Amino acid sequence: MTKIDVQELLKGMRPLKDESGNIIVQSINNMQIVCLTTDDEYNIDKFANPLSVSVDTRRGYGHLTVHNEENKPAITLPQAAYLTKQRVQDHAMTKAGYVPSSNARDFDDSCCVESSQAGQISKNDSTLKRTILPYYLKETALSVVGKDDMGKLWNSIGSFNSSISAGTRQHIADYYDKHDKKLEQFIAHFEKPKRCIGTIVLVDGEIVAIDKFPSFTYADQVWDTLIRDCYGSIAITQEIKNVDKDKKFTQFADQNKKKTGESTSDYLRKILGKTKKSIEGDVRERIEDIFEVEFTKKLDNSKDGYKSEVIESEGYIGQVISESGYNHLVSIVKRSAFDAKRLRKASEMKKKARSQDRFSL
Amino acid sequence: MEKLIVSNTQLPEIRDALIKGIEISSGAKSSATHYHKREDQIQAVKQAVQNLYTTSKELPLLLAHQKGATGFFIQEVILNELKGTSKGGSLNIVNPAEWHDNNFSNILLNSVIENLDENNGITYLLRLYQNVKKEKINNRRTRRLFFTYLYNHSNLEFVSIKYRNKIKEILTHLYGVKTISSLLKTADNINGETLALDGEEAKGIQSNIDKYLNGENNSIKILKVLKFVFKKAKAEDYGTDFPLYQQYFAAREDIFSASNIPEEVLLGLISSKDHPQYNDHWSAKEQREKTMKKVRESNKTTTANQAMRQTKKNKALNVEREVDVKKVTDFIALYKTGYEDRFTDEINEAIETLAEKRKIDNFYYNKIGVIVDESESMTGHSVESKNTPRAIASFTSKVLEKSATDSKVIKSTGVSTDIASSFIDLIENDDQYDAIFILSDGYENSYDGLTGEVIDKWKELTGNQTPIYQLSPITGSEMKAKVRNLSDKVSTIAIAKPESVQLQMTAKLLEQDTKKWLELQVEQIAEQN
Repeated sequence: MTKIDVQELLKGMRPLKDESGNIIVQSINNMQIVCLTTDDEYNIDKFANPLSVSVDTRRGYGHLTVHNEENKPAITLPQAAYLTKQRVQDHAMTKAGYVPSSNARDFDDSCCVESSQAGQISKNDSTLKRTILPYYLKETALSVVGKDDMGKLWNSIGSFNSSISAGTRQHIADYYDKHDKKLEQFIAHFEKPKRCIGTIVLVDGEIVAIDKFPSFTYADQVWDTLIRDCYGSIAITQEIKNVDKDKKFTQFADQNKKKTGESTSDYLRKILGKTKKSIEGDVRERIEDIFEVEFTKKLDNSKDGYKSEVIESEGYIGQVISESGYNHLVSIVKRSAFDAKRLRKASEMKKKARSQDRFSL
Repeated sequence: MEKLIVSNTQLPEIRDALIKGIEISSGAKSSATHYHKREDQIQAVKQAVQNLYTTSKELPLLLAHQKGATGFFIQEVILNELKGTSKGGSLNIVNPAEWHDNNFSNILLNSVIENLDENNGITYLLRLYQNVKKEKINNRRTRRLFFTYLYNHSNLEFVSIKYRNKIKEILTHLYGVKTISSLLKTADNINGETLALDGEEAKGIQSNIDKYLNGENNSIKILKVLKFVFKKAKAEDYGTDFPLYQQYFAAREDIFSASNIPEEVLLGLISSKDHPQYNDHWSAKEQREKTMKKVRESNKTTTANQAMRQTKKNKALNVEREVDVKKVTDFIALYKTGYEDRFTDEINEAIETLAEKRKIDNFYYNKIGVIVDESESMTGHSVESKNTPRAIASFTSKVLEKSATDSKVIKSTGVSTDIASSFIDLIENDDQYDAIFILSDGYENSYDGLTGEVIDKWKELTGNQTPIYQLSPITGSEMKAKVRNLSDKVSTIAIAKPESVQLQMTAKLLEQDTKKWLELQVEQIAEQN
């Protein structure tokens, strides 16, 4: 087993910044998104649209076969969910998967996401909806990669649904159906910037997820699904918990009164600048903290020159798909039980340790 | 006799309903937006109309009568009117004696139908009557309104060719199969310009056609049109007084000979395997493209607006067709062509001219500040609505500029700028405005509520009472067809077209003197009597 850190995993990438060099942070309630970008040479636009693949479960429940009919290889979305309106069992992947061009690939560690429904998905199901599991299920899914058990997500789905008032059934479609309108509204808050290749998501000021995709095109294709279906679940949970909105601008204005002779516009601009700087500064620090996290890599599979590895640390779990050492896809989520403040403390001590001079006389 | 009966205790409720109603009537659309599905939008507007009826039965018609009301809203109101009798529902505003005895309800309904036809077009009117069929509505009032409209139409021959199937469907529903069959049988008795009728037939013509005629058309012409619509006619039935029908029958042999017949009708004819030109000009893809190109190049029925909207398709077909950009009156067509291709000097000039023409007369404000949100969410959702919200916002900003004597416009674009920063740019150097307009869908890039906080602080520091309006081209269904607002201190207005801005500002002013506003409306209707 080898070790790897975030700086190595996200080689060649950088956060999207404004003209003044500040990281652009988009926020809604207590959730923030930072977009990643890169130079043209690391924009590897050779993969098919991951939302164009078809699937079947004819080999049995929990055994997805993914068909890629495009003449380019495909990398499926991490924790892609395949839902159908037919009376058959919806399925999801526990990870992302590589599928060669004009070919099919079996994923035997897939899982059923509709516990009380029987029936197998057929390849030409015209009602197939390709989406992604909500954020709160990604950790569980990643922790069972390689495990052949069709019902391995059922309990987590049931708990998740009841936590967001979507009933108690172990059917993930209930979540999408119940909150469809809210999720549509949620996505409108976020601008999809040009040259975006991935995202860093923060909740309550802590990093909860990182996604790096192969290309700008890939990120563009999956943006709506990723933001709405996956991370939208965070906003819904916050709404249910009735999390108060942070009036950061007003707080700064109350702390920094307008000086005599200062024009109103100059004053407001100064406070707005402080507000944005504070948001950006916090985000910058959290990204620096995660640099200290060291992941252990565990091989999932290696075929056709593409390697899939599960990466784990005390606080995070994820997956990387690489080709000859080049990371095409990185997907990381925070473990729910992990208190990220511990990471900050550890990070502080590590920084302190690094700044110490070597013992000498 | 007092025309208004509204009591002081009812006034607040009616005022609130009017204000909410104006927001909906001038902004509500049935099409999908970036955030909402078509079905949700439709449902939200239907519910809003129902709520207006509950307050007082005159309210929906009063609002649909206003210039700036959207076609979809007007359709919904008329449909509701036709569903019931004019007697039902409670009148809480207009004196029932005026409403019923002095024919107010019919005058208003006719005026609303005119509003739909003139400001939204015949397609909206026909869709309304198709919905009449869907809802199984068929009463004397509905028949009178449709037949009077159709049989006195100034361009009846053209309309009956272009919308033949829709008209046939509506006529069949309103007349019933038996009456249609009887009228067509009577039409067989036409001999040149004379029509021999027995007593029963004369009665049928009187009650089914003549009583609706009030212009130049006569029953012989209408019967000939009916024969065409119901496909019972032959080429020889029509002389030079029906030049378009003559061309239509010629096109059944040669579509290239009929340049005054709508393009889609010609392509419909040749796409039938029975058409003599099918094998040579339509059966293969290459032939089809050549035929479409040839028809489009020679067709004279295309309006400047249609031609503008066809720009993208023409490029794909390699059709070189001069569009008289100056004649285009559809601003969305101009903007969409600009977004999809490029904003040529000609298009920019046409937009400026059109904005000048549409400027609001007697605009309430002289000096205005305008912020235009050009963020990603303003591009719209589905293919058909792509770029529509930002086209509406951009054009409205131009119309506002032209309507005021002095203005400052700030554009907020991309992920790194936000409306809050644009607002501060606007009030730079303590610039004073009579009003500030923010053209935005209400979804912020930075955190939700930031603009509201900045505006609140500005008002607190300066004591400034400048009215701030948020004009939103999006009508979010989650807000029950109302606008999603940036701040509680901002008056929200939903816009589908710039003409509605003044109307909605009226609504805001109406808060101050509701009774006066109602009196003016009723006076206007009385003048039409």
